[in-house]
Formats: sequence, structure tokens, C-alpha cells
Amino acid sequence: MLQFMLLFSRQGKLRLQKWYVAHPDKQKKKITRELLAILLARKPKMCSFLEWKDLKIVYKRYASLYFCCAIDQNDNELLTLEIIHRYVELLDKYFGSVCELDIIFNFEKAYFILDELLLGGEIQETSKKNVLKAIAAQDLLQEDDAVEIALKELGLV
Amino acid sequence: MVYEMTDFWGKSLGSFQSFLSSKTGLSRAESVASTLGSLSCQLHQENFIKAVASAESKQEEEDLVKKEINVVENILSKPGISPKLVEQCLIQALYCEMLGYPVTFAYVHAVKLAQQGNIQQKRIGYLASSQFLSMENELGLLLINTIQKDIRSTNVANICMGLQAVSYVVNTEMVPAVSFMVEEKLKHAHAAVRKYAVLALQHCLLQASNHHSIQSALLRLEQVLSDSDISVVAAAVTTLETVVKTKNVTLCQHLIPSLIQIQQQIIQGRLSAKFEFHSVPFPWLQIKLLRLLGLLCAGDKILSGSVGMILKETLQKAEVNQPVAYAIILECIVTINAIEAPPEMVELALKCVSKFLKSSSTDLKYLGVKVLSGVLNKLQDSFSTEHQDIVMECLQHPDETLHLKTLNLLYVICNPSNVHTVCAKMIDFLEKTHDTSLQRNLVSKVLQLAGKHSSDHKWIIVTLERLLRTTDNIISSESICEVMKRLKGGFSHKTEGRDLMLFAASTYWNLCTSSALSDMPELLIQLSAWTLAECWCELKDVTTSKLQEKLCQLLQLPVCSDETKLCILSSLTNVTLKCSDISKNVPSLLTAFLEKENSPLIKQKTNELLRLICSPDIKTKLCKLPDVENIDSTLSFLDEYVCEALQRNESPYLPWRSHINQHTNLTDGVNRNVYSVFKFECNQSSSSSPVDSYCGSYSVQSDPSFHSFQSSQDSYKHKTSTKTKKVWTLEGRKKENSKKLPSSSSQESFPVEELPAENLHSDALLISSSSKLEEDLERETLKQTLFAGVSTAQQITEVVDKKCVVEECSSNTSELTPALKDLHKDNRPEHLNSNV
Repeated sequence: MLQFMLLFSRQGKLRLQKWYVAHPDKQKKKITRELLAILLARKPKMCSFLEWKDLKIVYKRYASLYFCCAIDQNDNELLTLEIIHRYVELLDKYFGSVCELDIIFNFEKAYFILDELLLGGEIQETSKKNVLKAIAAQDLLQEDDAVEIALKELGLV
Repeated sequence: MVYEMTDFWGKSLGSFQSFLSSKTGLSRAESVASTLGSLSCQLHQENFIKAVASAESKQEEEDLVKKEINVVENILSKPGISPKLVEQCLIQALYCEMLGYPVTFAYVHAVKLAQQGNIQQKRIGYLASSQFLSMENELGLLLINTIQKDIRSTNVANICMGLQAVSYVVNTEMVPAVSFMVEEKLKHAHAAVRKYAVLALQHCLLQASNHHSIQSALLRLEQVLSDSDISVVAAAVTTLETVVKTKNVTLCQHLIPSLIQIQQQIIQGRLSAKFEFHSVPFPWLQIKLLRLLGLLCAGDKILSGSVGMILKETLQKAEVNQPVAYAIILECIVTINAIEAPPEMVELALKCVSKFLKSSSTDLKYLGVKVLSGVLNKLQDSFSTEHQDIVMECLQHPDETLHLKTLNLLYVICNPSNVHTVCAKMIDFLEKTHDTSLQRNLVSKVLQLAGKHSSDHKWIIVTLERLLRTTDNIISSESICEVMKRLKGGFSHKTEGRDLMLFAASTYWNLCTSSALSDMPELLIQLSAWTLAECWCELKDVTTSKLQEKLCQLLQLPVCSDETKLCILSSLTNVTLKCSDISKNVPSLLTAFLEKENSPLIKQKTNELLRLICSPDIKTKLCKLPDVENIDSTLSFLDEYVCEALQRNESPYLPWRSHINQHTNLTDGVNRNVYSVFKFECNQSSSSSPVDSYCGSYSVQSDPSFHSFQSSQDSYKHKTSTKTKKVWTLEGRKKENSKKLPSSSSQESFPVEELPAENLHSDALLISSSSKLEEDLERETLKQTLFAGVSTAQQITEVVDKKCVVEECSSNTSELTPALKDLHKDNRPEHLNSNV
């Protein structure tokens, strides 16, 4: 089970955080701070896995973003790398050649996609098509056209 | 939730009604009520959420939420409200409950809404119920009826919702009410229903306490395994895994053939193309199946043999060059490690591990090293030279994580021949790292290895010093006690004892006289004091008075805790008793020390010591005790006296154990009248020398009085030939002192003469300054020492340079050049099998 997932830039700015285990706010900040310091200090050729406290940390760097997950002791690390890769693929398909700016300006969409992919720390839907279909349906819901049409009909707009 | 167009119409019209009616001054509650039931309800909810999120203080947030809860409560308490309104209210209530403010009045409404209302409202009702009601809540009983009706209905959506609700609300008592229906749905036409039914069944299985119901449910589950839809099968596999983990493994072992079949179907590509993940079919289910097979076959040879075939096939199919495939290979290897695999399977695993180790990716190297230790445990004869090369490379790798994993591997393959080098490597790493949990881990590993494999006491002494200097606050005093015990054993050795005593004494004397006395870690002080008291007589140039003064000086050190002070005091007493001449300064130093001290225990001991020093006749009495071999520990010579006393109805003796609870105050256990106790002890103790009694552990005896009472019936003079286990030693209740025997490890022994504190750094400098050629040679020697004692497929024969690091290396190689033969100290072939 994933305990948490963090996305942060090379300058140490946190872009996205998703926690699947309850921690008080202070502790979350502490964990984030410590992990950021450790991961940013690592060189490019180093291993993608490390052990920290009682967790296994799996991280990968895509362009200027670090994707970092914490998993339990008995989880398969390579599989977690695949989950991260799947998430990046989804973002790429949705935003079209995703870059860090897309995630900064549309962070809520990034969270929605992550929620469709992972649930309770476990992977929920592996099919790219299904996830993107669900996101498209969500987008449709958010459109306000229907309200505007109704107001127009009544002659108020 | 899909809003239909008509819904929007209705809502927009409603909003205008409220907009108009609010102008005519309706009451606030009504307007809010109508607001809630309209399109602007969404706006209202949004505003509420925004307001709460931007609240400046907890108080403000609390006010906002409480206001909202009041409004919702008012609306819900009105009779005859529309389900739509209830729906909106429940959403608000859900949000408030999520924030942590209980909305118990809304629970009933949630249950009611799930019962009535259209499908959207039913969904909200179920959602609210599942969040509000825990399994202990009695309102769940009200929901059961609804759940039952929904599961039996013909509408697929209803069935699904009912089944989902089962996982949240059903507890152990309610299981029989729903389990039958759930099992029925396992055969439904729609795949989604079957999947939900399996998951509901999982919940029922976990809750069920009745063995019979578990069995019947498992039978149904077996049938599901052969379902046509793979997602249902996946759900069934997950359920099995949970059952196996929480309940008995043997319940599901007969399912292994079907699991194997499923795996076969997957890897043969029988699934549709939509389940392919980067050209690997359904890797998540494959990995789950492998893990489940590992759980089921663990420990059983026959079952393990049956899964061998499928593991081999999986490994073969996973030969594609995709990262996911590596994940599957990794899982296979982990499974092979977990079960009792036949040797050819382990060979196959080893081949895959070699591929991992040789790859250029650091990730795969790391994982290779991680699983290598597991594989090596299984295979006797496998650690070939190329593996050794790779492991050596990993040790030098700049990546710390890899380094750590390799140290773990070395820990596993450690045996008496290479324990010195392995421990040295570990301590090197220890000195570089700052992470305390890591340090603790490594320290315990080093201690374990030294305890298990090494019999060289000199090495233990040196390693211990190094260890204590780096990690003083991590090693416990129990470990120090263990080491003291071992050293004591070493001292009493016939031929090497004196040599060891000389070495130990000189080491610790040098430490104590060094200028860096204030830096000495506390446990090291304890160890030095004890050892010096034992073996100072071996040192020619150290007189008793010098030693005593030194010990007094140690006593004054600010770093000493009470424990250490007691230790030093015992050592002083020991020394005083052993020899006659006492330095003039000692009594005055001790008196000064006594004045400063607050702890009653320390004061008592110092008093004892002072009296001992000042009155030599007590000492002579002690030293003249007869050398008794057979000790009557049951005190049978007193039996007659005891019998008479008991006949006079006096209460029998209660051992100290039963008094323990009565001593609440520290000072309670301290006897202020020292010398009456002392005289009593004189009569009882029958050890030959004070030294033995010092080292005797404080063990509370099984009640001796009853034993002797019994024996008095049989034989008068019941002599046992057991060695004394002193309950009271001459030094009084020194239990905390005698238990201080740590199990720290020891390092390689270096020559006695050079042991300044900077010794640890000297060999590091040595290595770093060597030339490239020397470096290679070093590498080879290090490799030799690290893998000594581990069985190798081919042997390397190279001339080993005699550097001090590898002075005592030994290898169990079969082909040897004559030069190597000289270095052999430890040629024990039987270790080949037992250690790897």
C-alpha cells in the first residue's frame, strides 16, 4: 500500500501531495521536509529506492519534477515505479506533452487523475482509457453551459 | 451523478422563486430551506466550504460549522420534507462530520433516505450511512432490511449499492442475515455484480467466527476462481490472500492447482488485449498470484514442488525488456525464496539475480543484492567469483543505499573466518552515518556477529573500544555485561588466559592514562575499571596504589553516572581485598567523594570501602576463608534449627522476591546497619576468593528453606556439589552492577603497543594513500577476507600481501599456493555448509 505520494520540483517546491495514511499536519510537514532534503541530495546515477525510517521510498525524476512514493516493507518496488510511470503517462495524455507548468496551473486536475488511478493507497484502475474516460465525464459535469441557457430562455441574460 | 437537463430546469426555476420570495420577507429559516432545495444550494455549499477553509482560527471554523449544523438540524426535524431536501442536508452533514463535528441526528435520516428516494438519493443515503455508521452502531440493523431488499431487487445498480453497503455496516451478528444472499449473487449474469458480491463475501468471511460458514463460503469462492471475467477472478484472488493472511493457511491449500491454472492462462496470453500493460498481460494479477502461492506453499516441500513448473514458465515469459517484466521476475525470486524450492528452481533464481546484479541500472543492482541473501541461504554451493566481484563493486559504490544492502548481505554470509572483516566494514559505515535508527541496527548486527562467530578475545576488546567511541548511547549495559562474562571466561583459560589478561590490562591502562580522559564514553570507563581490577597484577609497572589513585580519579569524572560510579567502587573494593598495600591518598579522596554524593547506595558502598581500608583485620579474616569446593547451598546444617523454629510456630522464611513489591522507596532496600549484615554474610559465604563472589550473578534462588526442610527429613548432611550462586555478595546488594555485561562485539586485534585513540583513523589513511596497483591488490585481499569461509565454485589463487588489516584472514579454499597456506589459521570445512 502506498502511504503517500509527493511531487516536487528541483528547487524543493512541493507541487502535489497525497496522503493515504492519517498524520497530524505538523508531522506531514516534517516528513516532507526531511524527505525533500534527502532526495534532492541524491545524485543522478543513484538507486531509485531507499529505506527511510520504517518505509521504503521509491522515487523517479521526470524532467524537473520528482515523483516520490512511500510503500510498505513487503511491496514490490519495481511495480511502484510502474505506477508512477502510469501516472505520468496519464498526465501526458490528458494535458498533451505535460510539463511542470501544466501541473502548477491545473493542480486540481492532477489530483483528480491521481484519485482515479489510486484509491486508498492501492492502484484502482490500470487502464489508461478508462481513467481518461472518467476524467472527461467529470469535465463535462463542470461545464456551466446549461445554467446559462436556462437564464437566456427566461430573458434575463 | 449525472444531472439531467430537466433537473437543471427545475433548479433554475426554483432559484428564481426563492430569489423573488426572499424579497417579500419570508422567514430566514424558510428562505434558507428553499435556498437549500434549489440550484443556489450548490452555491451555498461552495460558499460554506470556502468560508470554512479560509477561517482564520479554529474558533471561527467551529462557529461556522456549528451554525450550519443548527440550520441542517432545524430543516431535518420538520416532518414531511422532500427527499431532495434531505439529500442536500445530508451532503452538508457529511461534510461537517468529516471535519470532526458529530451530526448524530442525521444518521437516522441517512438510513431513511437509502430506503426511499430515487436512485440518486438512494446512493447519497447509502454513502452517508456507510460513512456515519460504524459496524457497532445499532442503526445498522435498520439498514439491513434495506440492504436485503436491494440485493434481491432486479435493478443492477441497486444490487451493487446493497453489496457495497455490506462491507461497511455488517458486523459478526448480522453476517448470517446477508451471507446467503451474497453467495447467491456470485452467480449473477452481470460481471460487476459478481465482483461486488466477491468483495462483500470477503467482508463476511473476515467477520464470520463460525468455522462452518467459513468453509461453505470458501467453497463458493473456489467456483468463482473459474469465472469467465478476469476482474471477478482478480477480486477472488484478493479475497483469498486476505483469508490466508488472517485465518488459517491450510484452509486454502487445495486451491493451488486452480491458481496455477489461472496464472498459466494469463501468461499464455489468453486475456483480451485491453488487459495488457506495456506488452505484459495483467502484471498486477500475476504478482498477486505469485505472492499468494508463496504464502500457501511456505514450508511445505511437496506443494512447493508443484508450483515449480509455473514459476519457471513465468520467468521465461517475462524475458521481455520491459520494466514491468523485471517487477514480475523480482516477485518470482521472492516467491522462490519464500518456499521450499527444488534446487533447479533456486539455480534459475540465481541466474536471474546474476542478471540483475550485472545490469547497469542501480535499481536492479540494489534489488539483486537484496534478494541475493535469500537465495544464498537456500543454495549451498553458489557464491561464484563473479558474484563476489559484483558484491565488492557494490560495496565501493557511491550510493549509500546500495552500500547498506551489501552490508546486509555480508551479515547473512558471515561465518567465523570472515567475521573480523565484515564487522570492520560495518563499523566503517557506522562512523560515517548519522541516522540513529540505522546506527542502532548496525550496532546490534555487529554485536550478534561477534557473539556468534568470534572467539578471539583480543579482537573483541579492540572492536568494543572502537564501537563504544562511535555509538556510546546506543549500546546497553547488558551487552557490556555479556562481554565481561566472555572476558572472564577468557581470563580463566589455562594457556592463553594470562596473555589475554596482560593485553586487556595494558589496553585499558593506556586508555585510562591517556590525556583524553574526559572524552571517554561511560561504558568504556566501566569496562576499564572492571578489567583493571581483574588483571592489573599482570602489569609490571603499575602498583596497587597507582591503580587505586587512578580509579579514584575516574570516580571524579563528571561523565560518570551512578551506575558507573558503583562499578568503579566495586573495582576499588576488589583491588583492596586482593592486596594489602593501600595508597595513603585513597581514604581522603574517598571521603571527599562521599561528601559530594547524594545517592544513598553510593554512600553506603563508599562507607563500606572506607571501613574495609581502615580496618585490615576484617580483610584478613575474609582472606583466610577456607577453600571449599562443595558448597552446601541449601544450608542443611541449619536444618535442625529451622525445624525447631517452625515447630515453635514461627513464620517460615520468605525469599527476597516476595519482598520486592514492598520496597517502594529507593532507600528502603538499603541496610544502614552495614556490619551486622556483613558479619552474617561472612558466615554464609563460602567462596574461595572475593573475586569469584564479585562476578557471581545476583540470582534469586528457589526457596531454599523448604528444600532444606524436606532434606532434613531424609538426610542430615545434604551436600550438593553445585557451585555457589551467591544471593548476597560481599559487596552487598550489587545487582545492578553484576548485571552489567554487554554483548558488544570486538574488532580485529591489533598489536598491543599501538593503541592511542586515533588508531581508528590510521588504517583509513593507510588505504587511501596507496597507489592504484596497491589498491587493486587491496581489493583482492579484501575480497578474499570477506568471502572467506563462504563456499566458492572456483577459487582464486593469488598471493596475498600481508597488510595488518588482513593479517588474520583465512579462507577455506581447496587449491592453494604455498604462500597462502601460511595464513591459514582456521581450516574448518564443516562450516562450509552450516554458514552459507
